[in-house]
Order: sequence, then C-alpha cells, then structure tokens
Amino acid sequence: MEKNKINKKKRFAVYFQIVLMVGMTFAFSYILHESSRNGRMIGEAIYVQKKGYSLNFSLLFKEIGKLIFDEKSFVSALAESDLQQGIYTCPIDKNGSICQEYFSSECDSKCAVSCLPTSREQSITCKPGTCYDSLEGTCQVGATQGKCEQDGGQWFNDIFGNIPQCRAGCCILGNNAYFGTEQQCTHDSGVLGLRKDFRPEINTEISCIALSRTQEEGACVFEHDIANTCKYTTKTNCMQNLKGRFYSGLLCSNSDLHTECQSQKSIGCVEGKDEVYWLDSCGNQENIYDSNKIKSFNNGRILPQNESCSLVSGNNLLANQASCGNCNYLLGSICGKKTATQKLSEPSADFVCRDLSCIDENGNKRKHGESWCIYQGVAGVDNEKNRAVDTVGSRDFRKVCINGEVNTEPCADYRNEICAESQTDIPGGKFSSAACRINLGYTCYDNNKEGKKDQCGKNPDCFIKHVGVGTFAFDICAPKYVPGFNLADRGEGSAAICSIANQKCTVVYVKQLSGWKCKGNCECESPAFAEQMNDLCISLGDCGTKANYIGDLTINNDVLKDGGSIGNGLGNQYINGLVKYADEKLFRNKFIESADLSKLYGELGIPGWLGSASNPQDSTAGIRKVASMTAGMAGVGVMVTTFAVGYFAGGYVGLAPGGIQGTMAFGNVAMGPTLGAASGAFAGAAIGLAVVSLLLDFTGVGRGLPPALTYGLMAAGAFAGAVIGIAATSSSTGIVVATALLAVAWILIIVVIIVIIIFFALGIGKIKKITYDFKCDPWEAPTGGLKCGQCGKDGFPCSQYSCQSLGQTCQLINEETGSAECVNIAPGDAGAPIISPMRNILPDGYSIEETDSGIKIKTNTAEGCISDVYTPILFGIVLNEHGQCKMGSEHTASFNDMGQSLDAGLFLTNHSLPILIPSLEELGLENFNLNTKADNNIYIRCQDKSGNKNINEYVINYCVKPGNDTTPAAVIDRNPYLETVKIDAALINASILTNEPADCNWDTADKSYYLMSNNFTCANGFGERTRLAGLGPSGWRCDAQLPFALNKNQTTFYVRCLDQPTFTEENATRRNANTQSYELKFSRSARALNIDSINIDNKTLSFSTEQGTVEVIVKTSGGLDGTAKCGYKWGNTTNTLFDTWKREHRQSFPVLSLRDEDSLRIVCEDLIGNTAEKTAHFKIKFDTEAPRVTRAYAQSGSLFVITDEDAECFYSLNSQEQCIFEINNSTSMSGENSKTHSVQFNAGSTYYIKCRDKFGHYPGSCNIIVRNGKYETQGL
Amino acid sequence: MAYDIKLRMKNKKGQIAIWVIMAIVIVVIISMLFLFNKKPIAIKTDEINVQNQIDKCARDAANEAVDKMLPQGGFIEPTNYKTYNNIKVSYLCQNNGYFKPCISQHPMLLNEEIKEIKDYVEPRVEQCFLSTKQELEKRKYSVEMKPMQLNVSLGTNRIYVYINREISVSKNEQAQKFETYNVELTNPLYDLSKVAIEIASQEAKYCYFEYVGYMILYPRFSIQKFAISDSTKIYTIEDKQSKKEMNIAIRSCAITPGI
Repeated sequence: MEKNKINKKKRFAVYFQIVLMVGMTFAFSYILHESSRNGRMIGEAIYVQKKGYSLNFSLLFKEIGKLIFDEKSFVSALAESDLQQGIYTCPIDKNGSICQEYFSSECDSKCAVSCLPTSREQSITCKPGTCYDSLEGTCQVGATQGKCEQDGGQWFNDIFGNIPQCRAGCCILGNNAYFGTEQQCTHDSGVLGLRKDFRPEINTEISCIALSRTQEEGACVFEHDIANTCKYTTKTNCMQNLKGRFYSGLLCSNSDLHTECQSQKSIGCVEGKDEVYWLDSCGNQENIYDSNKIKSFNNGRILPQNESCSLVSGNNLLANQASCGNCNYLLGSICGKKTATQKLSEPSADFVCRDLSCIDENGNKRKHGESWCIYQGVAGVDNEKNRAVDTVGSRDFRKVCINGEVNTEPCADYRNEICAESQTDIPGGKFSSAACRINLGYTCYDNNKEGKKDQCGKNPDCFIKHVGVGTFAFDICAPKYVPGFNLADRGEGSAAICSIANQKCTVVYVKQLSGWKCKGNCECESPAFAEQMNDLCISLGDCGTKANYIGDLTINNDVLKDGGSIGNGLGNQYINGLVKYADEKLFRNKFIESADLSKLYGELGIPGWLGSASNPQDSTAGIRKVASMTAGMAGVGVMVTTFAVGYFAGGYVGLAPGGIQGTMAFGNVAMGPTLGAASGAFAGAAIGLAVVSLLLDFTGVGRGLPPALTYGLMAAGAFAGAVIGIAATSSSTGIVVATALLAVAWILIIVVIIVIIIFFALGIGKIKKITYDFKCDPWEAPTGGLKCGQCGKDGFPCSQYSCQSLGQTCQLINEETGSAECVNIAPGDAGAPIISPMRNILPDGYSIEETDSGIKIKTNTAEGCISDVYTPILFGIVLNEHGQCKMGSEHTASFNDMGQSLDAGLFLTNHSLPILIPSLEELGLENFNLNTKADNNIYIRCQDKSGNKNINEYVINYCVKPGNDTTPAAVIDRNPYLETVKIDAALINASILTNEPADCNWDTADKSYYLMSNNFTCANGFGERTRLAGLGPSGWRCDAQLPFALNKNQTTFYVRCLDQPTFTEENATRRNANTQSYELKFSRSARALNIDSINIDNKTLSFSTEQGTVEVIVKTSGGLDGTAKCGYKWGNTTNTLFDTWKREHRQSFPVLSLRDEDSLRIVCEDLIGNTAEKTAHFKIKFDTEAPRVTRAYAQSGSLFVITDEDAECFYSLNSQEQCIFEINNSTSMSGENSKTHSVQFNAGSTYYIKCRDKFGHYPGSCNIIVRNGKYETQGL
Repeated sequence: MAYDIKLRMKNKKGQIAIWVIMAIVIVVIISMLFLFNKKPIAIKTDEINVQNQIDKCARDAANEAVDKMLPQGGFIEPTNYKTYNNIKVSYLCQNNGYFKPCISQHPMLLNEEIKEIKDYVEPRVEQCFLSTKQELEKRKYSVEMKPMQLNVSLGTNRIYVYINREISVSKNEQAQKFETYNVELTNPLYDLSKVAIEIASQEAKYCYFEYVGYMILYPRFSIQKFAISDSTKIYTIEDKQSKKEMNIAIRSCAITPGI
C-alpha cells in the first residue's frame, strides 16, 4: 500500500516532471520570445510607429526615385515606357539643337528627325568628343562626331580635349603672346605675315603671357641721309618685318644713334602694356615714368621694370602713385587718364597709374580681381535650430571687382547655383574669391537610401536634419541650401519631395486604474511635433510654412489628428523666427564656404552620382531599444533571461520532444533529492511566472497596471509555481513540508487569475491610439499680387523665381527683352473659382446626378449605392481658373476651416480626387446588414490665385451599401517582382499586394488557408492602401520573410488570403478565403555576377601630357543577365560609373585624378542584388618633355644624333631661319622611331636639328646645332 | 660729170625709196599695234570706278554681316537661340536636359562664320557687279564678266574678303580689265570668336568658365555673364579696343528651374 502510495507519488512526480518539462518548454520559449522583444507595452506602440514610418519612407523614396531621379537625369515625371526604354537621342530637335537626349516617350514629339533609341554616348553621330579645326587650329570639347565631320573638322574620341593637336603652347605674335595650339599659331602668324614663333615647352598660360613682356626690345633704326628715324620695338619685329637695324636695349633717343627723336617729350600709355611711360618726340616708348627724369632716362638705355621706381610701399599698392608710373595690372593698377584725385606730380601729364580697386556695398575696399558673395537673406543651415533656412524667391549673387568697377553676377535662379567664397590671407588683409557653383542639394534625398546614409556628411551641400520629439525621432539627409521650386508650374516632384516630411506619429494611451494615460510618443501632442516636423519640411525644399525673401509668410502645413485637421500647430514665436531669415542684414559679411566637390562631381559624372531610391534603414530601431529600457519591463526581462541562461547552462539544451525525454532521464540520474527539489522549485516558479506573464500579456491587463502591482502578481505566480514544483519533485520530507503550502499556492494562483480577469473586465490595459499626421505641402505664394512691384526694389535683379514668390498672380514679363518686370496679371479678379465635375473619367457603371449643392455619384443599381468599397473611384473636379482646393468629410464654415488640401495645395485647374469609399464598418455601422446603407458627403471649397474663395461648399454625395461579397481577395502585385533572386539568397523579404484588405498565410505546400502554417503581416487599415512600386497598382500590403534553402535552386511559396478582416465573431463566416493559391516562385541566379575584365588592369598607361584621359571599360557577366550597375570606390565613397547598367561599363577619367592611384576598385551590383568586386592595378607614366639629344658624332661621312627616347629628328640648313624652322617643312633624318638618327654629313654646313617624340613633343628651339663640325646645344 | 650726177641722183632715189619703205613699214607696224592693241580705257572717277565700287560693296556687305553676326553668336539668322535683350543669341553649347555637360552646337565656329559672311557678301557683291555692269552699259561701255570666286578668311583683328572675277570693259576701241578685288576689314570677329570657343569648351568640360580670371590674363576683353531663369547663361564678350561685342548662349550642367 505504502509502496503503491510511493509508486503513485513517484508516478505523480514523473508525470509532473513530464508536464513540467513540456510546460517549461513553452514557458521558456515564451519567456525567451518575450525577452527578445524590446519591451511589450511601449514596444507595441513604437512598433506601430515604426511600421508607419517605414512604409512611408518606402513609398516616398520609391516615388521620388521614379518621379525625380532616374539613373541619370532629373525629370518631373516619367512614363512607364521611360522606365523600360530610358533615354533616346534626338539628332536634331525642333528648335534646331543637335544631339539632345529625351525620354523615349517624348523624343519623337520633340525631334525633327527620327530619334536614336540609345543614349548620346552610345550613338555614333552624337557621341561627344573633341573637334579639331585643322585650318584654324581651334579645338572644341563636347563636340559630336557627326556635326564635327559634317563641318569639315577632325573628330577625336576624347571628351576632355586631351589630344596632341590641342596641346597648347605659347605663340609669339610680334609684341603679343597667347596660349594656343600650334596650328593656331601657324594660322595667325601666316595671316599677319609674321614668321611663326611657337614655344611648345611653355605649358602654362600665365608664363606665356609673361613671355610677351620679356621680348628683346630696343631701337629699330632706319638710316637716312640727314637724320635717322627710329621705332622702338622688338628685335623680331624690327628684323623680320620692319627691316631696320636693331639696337638691343637702347632707346630711340639715345644720342649714339643720331636719330631725330628727342627724349622725354611727353608721358603716355603704351598699347598692350600696363605702365605709364615717357615718350620721345617721335612718339616712341621710353622707360617707365619716374619723376626722377635722369634715372628714368638711364642714359638712353632700357631700364628694366624691376629696376624702375616702385609704386608699392609696404602694403600700400599705390603709395608712389604721384611720382611713379610702374603700374601692375595684376596688382590692381594700370595706365589710365588722370582724375582729380589720381594724378602724377608732373602737371602736364594726363596719365597716371589708375587704381583698379572698388568699394563694395558695405563700404569696404575690394581689390581688382576680387570676387565675393552676397545673399538675399540668410543662407544655409541655422545650426542652433538644425534647419535649412533659405527663403523662397531668394537668390545668391557674386560680386566682382574688375577694372575699378563692381559687377553683379546672379547665380542660377531657383538656387540651382549657390555662391561659395573663400578668403586668402595676403599682406594687409584678405583676398576673396567667389564662384557660383551647382547646388548639389537635390542629391541629398538620395542619401537616405540604405547603405548611403554615411554619404550625407561627405556632401558639402547636405546636412543631417534630426527630428526628435521625445521617442519619435529620426534623421533625414536634407539639402543645406534648399532647392527652389517652380512656384508657377509645378510637377509632381515638388509634392513628392515635400511629402518626405509627411510623417505620422501614433500616440498610445493605456487604460490604467486611474483612467487613460498616455504611454507612448506623448510629446507628439505638443507644439514641438508640428514645429520640428515643419523644420524638416522647410529643409527639404520650398515646402511648408516659411517666408519668402521679403518676409511674407504663408502656412503650408497641416496637422491631422486621427484624420481631422487641427490646424498648423505652430506657435507665434516659432513663426516669427522663420520670418527673420528674410533679413539679409543677418547674413552680411557671412558666406558659404567653398568645398571640395571634385569627388561629388564624379569626373563630370554628376548624373551618375544619382541613383534609384530604395528603402531606408529602420532608424527607429535605436529608439525602440531605448523605449524598452524605459518601459518598466526590462528588469523582469533581464531576470527571466538570466534565469533561462542559467538553466540552459545546467544541461537543458534540447527543446525538441526527443530532447525532452533525454534530458529528463539525465535529470533523474544525475540530480540528488535536494537538487531535484531545488530544480522543481525553480521550474515551478518559472512556470508560475510565465503563466502570469502570459495572462497579463494575453489580456493586455499588464499594460494598465502600475509596475509594483504587475511584479506582485508575477511574484505571486512564481511563488505558487515554486511551491507546487517542490511538492511534485521533492522527497517525502519535502512533500510533507510542501503539502502545507500547496493549498495556499493553489489559492494564490486562483486569486491571481481572478484579479487579472476582473481587471480585464474593467478594461484595464486597453490601448487607445491617436495618430497625428504632419502634412508638408509645397510652399505657396501669398494670394493676389499686391507686392509684385517689390521685385527688384532691393537692389538685386528681379528674376522669375523671386517674382513668383511675391504673389500668386505675380508674373515676370519681358525677361528676354532685358526690361524684366514683375506684374500682377489679375488685378481686378473678384470671383471665386467655379467648380464642376470631371464627367468623363468616372469608371463604367457610375453616373453623376447634379444636386443643388454639387453632385451625387451613383451606381446603376436601383438605389444607386456603392457596394464595391475597396475599389477607388477615379473622379475629379475642374475649375474655371487656377485654384487651390480643400476637402473635408464634415461641413465647415469657411475655406480656412477645412483640413485636407487637394493635390498638396497646388493651384491647378484640374484636381484629381480618387474617392476611396469607406466600408460601412469604417463609417461606424459595425453590424453586417444587407439592408443598411449610409450616405456620405465630401465637401470641397477652392480659392483662386487672387484669394477669392468659395463661400458655399461643393458637395459630392454618395451612398454606401454592403454588397454580398463572395469574392476572395486577389494578389495583384508582388515584390521582388522578378522571380530570379541573388545567388546566395537565404531569406527573401517578400511583399504581396491584395486588392482588398485581407489576412494572408503562406506555406511551402499547397493547402487550405486555414492549414497554412505561416502568416504575412498585413496592413489592413482603410487608409493603408499603398503601392509596391511607383507606377504599380495600389492595394493592401502584406510582408513576410521567406526562407530559401541554400541547397535549392528553385522554390515556390503558396499564398492564400482571407478577406474582410473587420468581420469578426458572428460575421466571421462571411469572410472569403482563396481556394486556389497564389504562387510566389523564386529561382536562384544560375551564375554569380562576375567582373570579367577591367581594361586598365595590369597596364602601364603612358601619357604625353598631364591633361590625358583614361577610359575605363569594365565588362560584367553572370548574375541576372550580365547587366549591372558598376561604380568605383575611392576611400569609402562609391561613385557610379557614368555609363553603366550594361554588360560593358565605361567612364573617362582625367589622368590627373588617377595619377596618385595605382589601383581602382570596381564594384558592381545587378538588379537582384548579386555583387562583384575587382581591383584593377595599373601604372601611370608621363612623358611631357621633348626628346633630348645625348650625343652627336660624325662617322663615315654621316652625322649621327642619339636621343634619350624614341624619336624622329629633322634638320634644316637654312641659316636665316636658324632654329625657327618649321619642323614639318624640314628634312627628316633616318632613324624614325628610334634613338639613333643619321644624315649625310658635310662638315662645312651648319645643321639645325630638332627631334620629335611619338607624342609630338619637340623643342621650340633646336635640340642641337652642328656648325663647322662642332656642335652646340640650345637650352637643353 | 653728168654720169656722176645721174649716178648720184640714182643713189638718192634709192635712199629715198628705202626711207619711204621704212616709213611705210613703221606706219604699218604702228597701225598694226594700234589695231591689235587697243589702248586701255581710263575710266574716269567722275564716271564709274569699278575697283572702288566693288571694294566698297564688299566692305559694306562684310561689315553689315559681321554687325549682325556678333550679337547673335556668330550667325546672321540663328536657328537655335535664346532671346536676350530682344537679340537672338545662338547656343554655342547646349544640353536641354539636366546635370549633363553641354554639347557643342557649332564645333567649327570659325568655319561657319566664314561661310556666313561668304553667303551674305557673295550675292550682294554679285549684285554690285551687275549694277556696275548696267551702269557701264548705260554709258555705252561693253562689259564682259566671268564667274566670280569669293573667299573669306579671318585673322587677328581682320576679316579678309578675296574676290576674283575678270571683267573686261571696252568703249570706242578702248578696253580695260579688272580681276581681283581684295578687301581687308578691321574687325575683332576672329578674336571674339576664339574667346567664345574657349568659353564653350570650358563649359563643356568643367560646366564653368571663370571669366574674371580670363579678363585679368587677357585685359583686351571684357566679359559679362548673365544667368536666365531657364539656366541659360549669356556671355557678352567685348573687345575693349573696338568696343565691339559678341553674345553667346550656353546651357550646361543645368538643374531644372524648380520642379
């Protein structure tokens, strides 16, 4: 009996242990699962928030990607064919412009001939390169092959003009010199009848210009019987052209020359020279003016400029202006007519070194050649507020001081260019240099893509806009200098950009014992939410609430609470802060600093830097983590996790049923009674704790309880569990001890459960969510046109953009006539827009019936009610003039009281209005009843550009009636849309889109919806209709992660959905499940993406000039179809190759950009995510000099010349031309393309020899002169 | 003695005959010369000076052409242009799209300018020749004209118009020939165009032309830039010596004017 009792006890213990272990399996699984979630209460709220954020971004960036940034260009909208066919090239368009690229959809309409179905770079006739005019010697970069050759030029496939024919040198033309090609020099010398003097070895423009000033000058004397006449000129001009006798270094008035010219008879300027000179009686230039005549005359000899008087003293560049004529144009002075304040001390002198400096708008002195920036208001980012603040209509200007005058150069309108400035320290002050450069702000949006966020900080035109409203926080890469929008004729792009700031914050309330209490994102109910979101909104572009450049502010944001407008939510102080940015005085003497944009310009590949957009990272992950720590559950989580870890460390690893058995046996054998009891206590406590936690979580009651009470209930559960555990597993003594407590434990358990049930019944822990939607609309100018006349009144030129910003009816006229004026085009407009319906776009089966206040949309059923609630009805209204419209679901008193703007608040004549018919449940009629129907109204008012608003609402009425929906939901789109996935895909992030809200399941076997073991996460809210792709169908999205075993090449997932998720309980049977599965098929790429070759790999690249060009050609294969997007990596930056998304990818690099590199890392990725990397190793070698003659000797009647590189040598015997002989008209020595050159030798002749290398380098003078058997070198 | 006298008389007659024959030969030769070599007509200045007439005509036409071409970017009737100050300014380099560098619309600008001048001057000079011919014919001159060859070339500060046409003018057995009429104009078209080519090249290469630096290096030129709202840049290049100005339009690396 006792034995039986004991056996019973043992059996009980065994059974209990089995139950314990099985229970623990679930308990620990649950505990671990819960501990892995970042907080339960707030976590859920934030999860909702994250989901909304993520969805928003996914859509937004896809939209922006499709609407604005394609791979290379920037457009407002793309047709579907554009996405497939891309860019076409028009050989000549209807305006007469050659080789322009258009999107395939528009090319034919714009082109005068047939379009070429390829990009410009891929076409034969329109490929840009360099055109060389072999007659005139000019080179034109950016020339197409077709046009160049048609006009008789020679075309070269080099987009940078780095060809030998275009290599510039110094051409000396008499007293002048310029930097140009050799053929230009040949042409110009020929036209002027001068002997060509081209110096290829002079390879900078400034040294060439300087050379023109160092020509040997002197007196050119023409002898006559009575007295010699004289002209002061260069030796070349005297001997070659004037045929006089040249006296180097002497003035014409030198007494030794016995000319009729008398010294220092007048003072004047000399053409082509900066300085003031003494002139002789023949009008010849003498030395630089010096009030010390004797010093200046210098005994009739030329006094070099550096030995002449000095105009400069200390930092004063014009200290000796009255006594010295040694002006210097580069230093800001030049010979000119005297003024009242600027004159020489010599009273008769009419000329002086004129000061070329200027006084700027602030009264500061600016030097000649100095340039600086000026702005219409504050520019850039207000770092304190972390927002971009350029006002609407403002423009940057560059001021230039040149020749004593200040010129104003407007940068490109719409802030497409910004003025950047740098200052250099010079003696006595600073020297400013400014430039209008491209605003790369548009590229910032792209940096919000996955994997590109770190690019934001590297782009000098972007900044990280942080939004932080409590736990609602994220970062956006936004433009520092907000790009201006076309305010008069906007495309979808502006609304898409602004909508980046359309964010939803879900505030979570939890019912507690004391009532409803805000638990998550509570700060979103404060003005900080609207203000921070508006800061983001205005930083994106001309969006949101801000002022124009004269300080007129308009409201262009809205805050919706659960879909209903509650106004703009901005405080007065905040608004006043925005208006201040229009005050240009706040930004005086400040400027945008210049930045290194070379990498960003991508070797002219600015477009390549842009890419298509994809999902951003989940930036709320960090927030959620923090939220879990503040949720009050972290301690429990940590405790439970610690326990679990300790437990697993004891050997209980296996969780599968087989494992349980084994583990149990191990426990019995290994553990002693005490240990067994202890483990029973622990396990029991864990189960008790888990059960209570499960209950609290399942009922949701835990959310509404104070932590102490929650912990109390859990502790009670744990205690009760521990007691029961001890009773079940301990020895007989233990059993006796435990039995006393066992009853208490059971009672405790029951009490805890009852308490939880009571709390549940009271609704404790219920959640209430309030969504706050921030709507960021494109900026709209003030209505009317009262202030149009202010355009241009601030001293800056009026532009189209600044005019548009002053009023809705302001328009710039006569811009092309030079008399631009901003005028009010509707000064007498007093009528509000007249609204009428767009009749022809309603789908079949719908009709319109006019009513007193608007229209009624009807179906062709008896009652005319709409039952197909999830199919949007395409509808719209037409205005008789441009107008801005708002709509609401409830009657309001005026336009200003209405909430939601149509078409993002844009002034349009056609407003589209896709009507989403809410279901009866969403209209508040929750019970299914076929006889129920509900009338619904949409109220619309509009205002025109002059501010005239509709007083009465235009009402669109319709009725909704439940239909007997017997059709299950259908999957209408999928993502990834390609069946082929990358070769190493193990997990596929898949999405499907259903045509109506539905719950969807998936399985690897085709089975009933209810038997499918995995489910999708579906967004089924009425307002959660979305698209998977920019131009794809809209519907309701479901997401899942699908495993793809690496040993499989193909897999199919079966998907079935159950529609009408709002039907529950008694109506649940009305839901329709798919009877046939939608198959999500995937196959693995057959081959990995491979970079087959990089043309420069293992090559030595030789260049004749540092201006060389390297064309990098990358070939790819494998992956999806061999095509991929390739880029090159410099440091951490990856730049897309200019010509990519093919199997052969190209980009030309100026060799200077590669000269410090010995490798180029190429990275490619195909459409489905296969990647490949390869590094090309190369060497760059420059040969920029002419060959040198290292040795010359005569042997066996021949003259031998040895060069240091392969070359071709030429000689001339013309003693008149000497070393100025034309290499192409001379005689070639034998030994072409070798180092040894020879010619038959006559010791009595003089050989003038020049050698030319394979790059065309040869010296301006001779390499060597062999005279009477002896040689002499020239400048080598 | 009589014999002597007779003999002397005979000798004298022979001499006379020789002299007479010589005189006749001389007269015949001179007559032949007159007959076959008409004396050139000295066309008097109070009548018509063909050389001057054609010279003036070509000069006026060339000046007129260049005066039209300079403000319009080197073209008399631009086809692809931007209107600025009511002037049709030719695009030398243009990209209608966004971000990309421009494509040269006139890679052989000097060649095209030469052709423009030639096409403009040639019919006008032809007309001048015809008018001159008519005038001469009115005045009873006989005029023969062969086909005209007209060439233009450009050089520093110069435009050269080379006309080759043979005209024979005769009247009253008098004739004169004209063949070449070369005109040299002082005009900075060539120099301004070279600056324009440099601007277009730099815009195509760098999307930017630093005109201030250029003006400092080449003080002969004054350059101004004006940005129009559609991202077109108008460059006005002035030759300070002659005060002549050339306008060109460039659209390169533009960003859409608002979106």
